[in-house]
Amino acid sequence: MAGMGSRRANDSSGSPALAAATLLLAVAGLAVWAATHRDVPGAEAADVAFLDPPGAAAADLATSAPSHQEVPEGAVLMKELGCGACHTGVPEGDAIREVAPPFGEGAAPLAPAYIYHYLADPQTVRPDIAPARMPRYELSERERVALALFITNERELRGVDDALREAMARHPEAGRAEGSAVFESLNCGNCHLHPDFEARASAPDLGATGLRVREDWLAGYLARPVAIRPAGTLPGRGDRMPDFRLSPAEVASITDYLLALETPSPGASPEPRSPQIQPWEPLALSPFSMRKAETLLRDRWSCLGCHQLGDDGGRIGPRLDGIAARLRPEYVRHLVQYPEHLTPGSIMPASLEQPGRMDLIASYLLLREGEWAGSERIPDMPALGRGSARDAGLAAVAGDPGARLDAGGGADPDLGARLYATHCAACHGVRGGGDGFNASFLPVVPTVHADSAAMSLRADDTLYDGIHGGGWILGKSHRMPAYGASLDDARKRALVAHMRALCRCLGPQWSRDGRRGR
Amino acid sequence: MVTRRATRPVTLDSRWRLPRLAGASALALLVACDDGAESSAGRGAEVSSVNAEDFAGSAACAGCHEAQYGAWAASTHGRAGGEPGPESVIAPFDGTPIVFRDGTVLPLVDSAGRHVFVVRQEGRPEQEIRVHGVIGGGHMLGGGTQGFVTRVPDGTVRFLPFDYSRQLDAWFCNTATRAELGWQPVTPEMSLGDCGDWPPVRILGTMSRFANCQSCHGSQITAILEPGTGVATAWNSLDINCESCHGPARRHVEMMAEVGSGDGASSAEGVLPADRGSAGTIADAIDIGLTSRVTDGVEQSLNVCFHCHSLKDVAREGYLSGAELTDYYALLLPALGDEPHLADGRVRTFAYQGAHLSSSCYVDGSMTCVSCHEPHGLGYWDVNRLPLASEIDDGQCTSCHASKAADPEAHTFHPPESPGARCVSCHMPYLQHPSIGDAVPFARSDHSIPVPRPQLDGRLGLVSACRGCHTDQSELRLQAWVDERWGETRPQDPVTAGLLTVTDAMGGDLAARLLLRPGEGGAMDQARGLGRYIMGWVRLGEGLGRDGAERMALLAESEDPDLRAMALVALHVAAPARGAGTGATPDADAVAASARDESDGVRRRWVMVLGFLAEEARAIEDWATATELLQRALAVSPEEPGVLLTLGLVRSAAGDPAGAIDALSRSLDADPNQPVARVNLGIVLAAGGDDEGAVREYEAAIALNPYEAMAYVNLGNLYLRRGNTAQAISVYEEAVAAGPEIAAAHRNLAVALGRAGRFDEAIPHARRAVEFAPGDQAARDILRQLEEAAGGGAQP
Repeated sequence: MAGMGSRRANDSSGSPALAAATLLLAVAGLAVWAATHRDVPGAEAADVAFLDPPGAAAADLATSAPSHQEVPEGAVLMKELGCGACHTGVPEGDAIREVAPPFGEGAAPLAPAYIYHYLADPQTVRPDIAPARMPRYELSERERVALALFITNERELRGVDDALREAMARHPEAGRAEGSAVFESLNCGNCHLHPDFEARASAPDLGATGLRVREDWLAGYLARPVAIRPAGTLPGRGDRMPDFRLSPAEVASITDYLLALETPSPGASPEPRSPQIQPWEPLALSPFSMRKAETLLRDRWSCLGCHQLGDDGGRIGPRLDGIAARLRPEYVRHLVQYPEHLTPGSIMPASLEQPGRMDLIASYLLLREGEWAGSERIPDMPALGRGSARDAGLAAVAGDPGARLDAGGGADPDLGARLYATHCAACHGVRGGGDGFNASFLPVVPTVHADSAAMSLRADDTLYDGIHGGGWILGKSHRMPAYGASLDDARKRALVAHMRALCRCLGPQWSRDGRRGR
Repeated sequence: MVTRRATRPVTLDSRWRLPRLAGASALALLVACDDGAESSAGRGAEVSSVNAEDFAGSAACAGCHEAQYGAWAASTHGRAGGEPGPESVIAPFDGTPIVFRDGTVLPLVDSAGRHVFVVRQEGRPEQEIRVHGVIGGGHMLGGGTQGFVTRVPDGTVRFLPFDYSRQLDAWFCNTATRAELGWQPVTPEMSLGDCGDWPPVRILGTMSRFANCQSCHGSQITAILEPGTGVATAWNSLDINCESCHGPARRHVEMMAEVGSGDGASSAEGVLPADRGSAGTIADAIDIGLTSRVTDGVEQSLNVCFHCHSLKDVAREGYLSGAELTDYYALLLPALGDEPHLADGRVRTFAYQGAHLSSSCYVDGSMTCVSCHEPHGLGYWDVNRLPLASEIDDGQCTSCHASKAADPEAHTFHPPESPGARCVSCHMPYLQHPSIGDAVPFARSDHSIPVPRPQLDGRLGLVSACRGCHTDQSELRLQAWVDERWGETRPQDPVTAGLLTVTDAMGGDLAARLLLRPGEGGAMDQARGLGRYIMGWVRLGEGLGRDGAERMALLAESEDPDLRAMALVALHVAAPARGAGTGATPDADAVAASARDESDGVRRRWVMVLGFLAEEARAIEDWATATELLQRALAVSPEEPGVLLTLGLVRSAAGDPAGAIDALSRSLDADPNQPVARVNLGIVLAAGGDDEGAVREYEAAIALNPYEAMAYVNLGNLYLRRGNTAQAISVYEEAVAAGPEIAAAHRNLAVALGRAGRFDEAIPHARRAVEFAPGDQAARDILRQLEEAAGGGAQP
């Protein structure tokens, strides 16, 4: 697992051994640049070498790219596209790493300007690289600047055109460190080998796609992906599904393949209580009951702490508007009760409510009018969350849902920090400052766990109970969810211990003395 | 379930209507009463209102809501009372006599199948009292009781003194207002008159004319004075019906009948099975004529239950379920004066489950009654509404306090599954309501949900949870155990700590710092501190001191109308008289002027509290203070009939008949339908020699309420004073018929009969006068004189 310190050092100093490798690969890169960006202002000033992908790999891609007349079967196509580099439950994505150019120390340098423009729309820059093409990530200008500066791998910044120079001026904070965070959050390292980043499954498991989503929605989504989780697959990462510009035939092929998948990845659902998904239809709710459900959703339940509904609600989970268009009804009902069963690694807590309430909420969401339109992406999410995420080790765990499931009780000293990063930091802030990215979407400021004075008044048991039962039972915000059915005792205690580490304080004396405190 | 009010009256209006004797002659009776609920303070205010005809009755719910109806019908609410019959009566109506020292009472079912009490007393005609209603079913684990009501000629329905305890399998009665021994099982040593309700005095329904608040022993009970007729008493049922919680449902029933709801409407969540929603049915309706209780917030949910399960003062008569509770009741004002709760919020007198408002689960959490109580069947569920086995199931607590469930023994220090390991054993022990004594079991689980503190419990006169089991251990020893296992106990809330520390000898500033803690603890805690401070340290026109003034000003900004009003009254009372204020210290008029900016509810409470304080002054015959407090109340709510009535009584007692006449007349101008005010005006007029005016008022009172016994009593007094004994006797007999429980009526009739030489007839009435008013020395003297006269043939 790459350490924070090493990446931070690399960001600031670079490597003296890089210069030789840069010179060796100069000519090929320049040729590519010249062929595709003749009109880019400032190109003539570039006296540095450019490179995109290594020669051999580029040739392979070029030969497999052209006509797309014969679309491979879904599994093959997904393997070529490298879907499995991020997703589980589909063919593994190792092959993509052989064709995607490596980055980092020892790799060929690329001109920042080239990267900057290429990332804006890879297939416009290089229309010849399909099918294993670099997808489009809808990156902001700031993200492209940061990535360009990070990927270029040059101590001396060269190959900067006017456009990039002006963008850099607009985003002076977008340096290499930020580029590293963006690189990490977008899981660039899953395809592009980089010595500081490990490949990891960082996107939703697709092993049970056929049980989860509707066919027409899936096809539309593959044709034009838009963010489902505005802040990233795991809260605050900022990663997102890119647009591969699939042809209709490719969409059909992948759709067919995914809809046939009905088995979540092994180990994803450890709870024996998760039954098989059952047939279910939404209840016919009267308008009165619809209004009741909406009132409960907004004023009593915690759903909108993470999910957006209309203009209200958090930005952690998928938007709830129009989910009837996206998800199968029986899956919606199943999800409320067993969120991790078919969505491995989901941090959505299992509901503690009685089954009738789950029927009500699932029915309401499915019957509620509203088009599915995806979520409005939170711009520059990785950049905004960069420093704090790193400090808390979020980068080391957030992309690895399995890690928290594998982690045992007291044996793992980092368990509390890791759980906090995945479950709490989005609202409470990675350092417990109550300033997570989602805090601004909540009606009540999340508890500041770093506040020593306030936290000294709260017993450990109170913190535990809040994790278990949510904010409502403590008379605090009902948007704080209850993790009682999702986190076992050891995990809840680990979280409490981490909160104590954040506040550098203990609970009140009365809660610690006597025999119970020993 | 039968409930009893505290030994001291617990509502402000009841404090205002305590009968008081005017003068030593014992012939002129002055009655203080406030039925000024419809005061000028309510002008222009929007008050939620529900009408009796808005209700449909539980039977109307059964067809569509079968499951809920079935659960309710089997619940303690569904079986809380009703018409007398084999299903409802648990007491033995088998003719076995209830033996008193001076009579026997036979509960039996007569040949017509009617439940009756036959009362036999030597020298008096046998009296058969028909049971018209059964109250309670003896369901409660801590003490289940059953009581009975009967209709009396004035239109009221009154509680009989013959109550039954299921646990004791015995008849008992409430001696609170007579022998003052609380609830006592009937023994041959007791007289009937030891029972406070003999003859029956407490009525069903809330009327300020009577010292009671019995609107909860049935559903939608109304008792309304109908001018010229008497009291009209009505109810939908004597169980606690669906609409007691859901509010009026007639409109819902009619709407559903009109649009159709399929062959069954809803589950507990109010959803329709998929095959039942179709066009033209309930599936189209967003307004179904009812609101959902499921979406209630914490306070809203609590108020549904607290309209019965909590002490409260009447701010406005006429509450029916579905109306806004705080428009009609003030839940925190009982903390002023009566102190029905101990310093830490536990029940000191008789307070139902209102202690919940002092529990940390409510103050620091969001617990409502339905967090544990399933509201239809009244079984138990956890905070997530998953069913629990019983009232001792730990899930009630651990669904929130999950930290205690992970390793229970580390918290309980009791063997698993042992009684001591149950959460409720330590935190919700059954406590006998103190004001009723220990003779009849009537314990309710402690809804203040305290941390066991054996030593403090002992000091407060309570049996601690620990000692409930460890009966052989001293409180000191138990406290040592607690200290050893749990260490330092969680601190009390600041107001409770202050109440446990404060003493009467402390100065005002120190008391303020201890008792007035704006922003700390719950509203009920604040009210206890505020009430204690007002009673102990707020003096008319004397200011509050720096700490008191600062803290009171903050409390006067409270959102809670009760707290706000109490604090405003404290500022008002302490303010200097008109013209004596300074820039920093406004005078009383300036404080009163700020009432214009307050809500109707706050102004109403403001007047209630001032009225209560005036009554306290009146009780110690501090006429000047009482007068000034009432004048300040009138500055807040001009021409408030209840305030003017009390002012009239105070002025009369202070020797200002002209002022009394003025005040009483103004009270009647503001609200002419006050028979008792007319009686009092008549008394003052008569005392001034205006017999014609007095007779006019008494007759006007009788015209308003033909059963107004006090009008007859005072009319009789007037005739007697004039020497018209025969007419006096006739009128006194009317008084005794209308108010057989009124000792003065019997006493004065005895006097009149004695003057007529009818000693044998007079003596029984004199005896009743003594029986019903054991402390009335004049009555004893009259009885003695009558007995001597009867024995010696002399004129008494």
